[in-house]
Amino acid sequence: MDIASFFHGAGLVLIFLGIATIIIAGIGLFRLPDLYLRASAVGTSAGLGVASIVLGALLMDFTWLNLLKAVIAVVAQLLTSAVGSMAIARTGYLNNSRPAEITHTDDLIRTRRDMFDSDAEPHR
Amino acid sequence: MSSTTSTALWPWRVVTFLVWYAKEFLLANARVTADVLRPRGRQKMHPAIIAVPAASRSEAEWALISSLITLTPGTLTLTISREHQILYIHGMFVDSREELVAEIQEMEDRMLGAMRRQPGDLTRPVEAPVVTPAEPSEDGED
Amino acid sequence: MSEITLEVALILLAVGMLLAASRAYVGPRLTDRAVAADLIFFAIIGFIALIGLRTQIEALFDIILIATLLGFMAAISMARLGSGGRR
Repeated sequence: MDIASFFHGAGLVLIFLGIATIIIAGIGLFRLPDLYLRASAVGTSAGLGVASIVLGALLMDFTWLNLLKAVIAVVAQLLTSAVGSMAIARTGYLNNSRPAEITHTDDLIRTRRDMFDSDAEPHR
Repeated sequence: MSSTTSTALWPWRVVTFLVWYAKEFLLANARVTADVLRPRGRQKMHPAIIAVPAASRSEAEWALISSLITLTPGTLTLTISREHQILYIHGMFVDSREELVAEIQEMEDRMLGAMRRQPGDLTRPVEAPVVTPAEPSEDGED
Repeated sequence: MSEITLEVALILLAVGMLLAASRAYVGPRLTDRAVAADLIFFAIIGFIALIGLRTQIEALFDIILIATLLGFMAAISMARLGSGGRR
């Protein structure tokens, strides 16, 4: 087996792995009970899913310039998706999106209760 | 753990941190994926929101530690309180408070070891202070 | 990539996208929809990569790079919209 077809096969495997994480995150959107758990499930496809699709595409179409662009894209995706899901989760907490019943400890609720007293409109 | 990581040379600490983080990242992905697919009733989820005392000082350190925590599937930074040195973390598999706190603090120790040439001040507040209603907007990120 | 693999991959991505789209439809809150929209966006990056590989677009990786940055803007604006400017 020559090196080109090996790269091709590895690229296909990575792309299908990425697609699988996207489907599983989609299933997780229905099977998990609250916003924060769903955000965790989507986090798997935000990081591993997109990274492996981009790296798979890189292996199937390899040049050094593409390698540089793909690395920048993966790093940008990892950093920005983290900030994006923090912003969404934070907004959910501010908007009274309650953690599900199975959440056994909530340290943030005390600080938030205080916040809502001073913050006139509890906005839904 | 900080004693072993902080005495090593700085470039070595960077490399070990990156390898360690990559391993944790893949394991966390596998764990969350497996739990999504597990039949209802046998799922291992024990979600909780925990206040974790943190040793970060500068803006860059806070930004990086909260991003790294969120990037690991299963843990999610909800907000930080810089003046109280607290990270509020939503964890998906929290069997006990100590377990999550130890996990996050190990990550922070390794990250600070990789970011700082001199390990410097790694102290953390001993217990979570009661946040008063007087300063409502102090916890979000700027 | 052979024609049939490409089609299987596109169909699988569409399944993931449909799951996310139905969660975005069901809601119930803006933030649930924002999380679902995030997932739809990752599926779109997958579509771009697959179709770009098939059609041999030269600018494929430039498009992917810009797409990842655009997705960040979308997530942040959804979050800002939901919180009404509060942090």
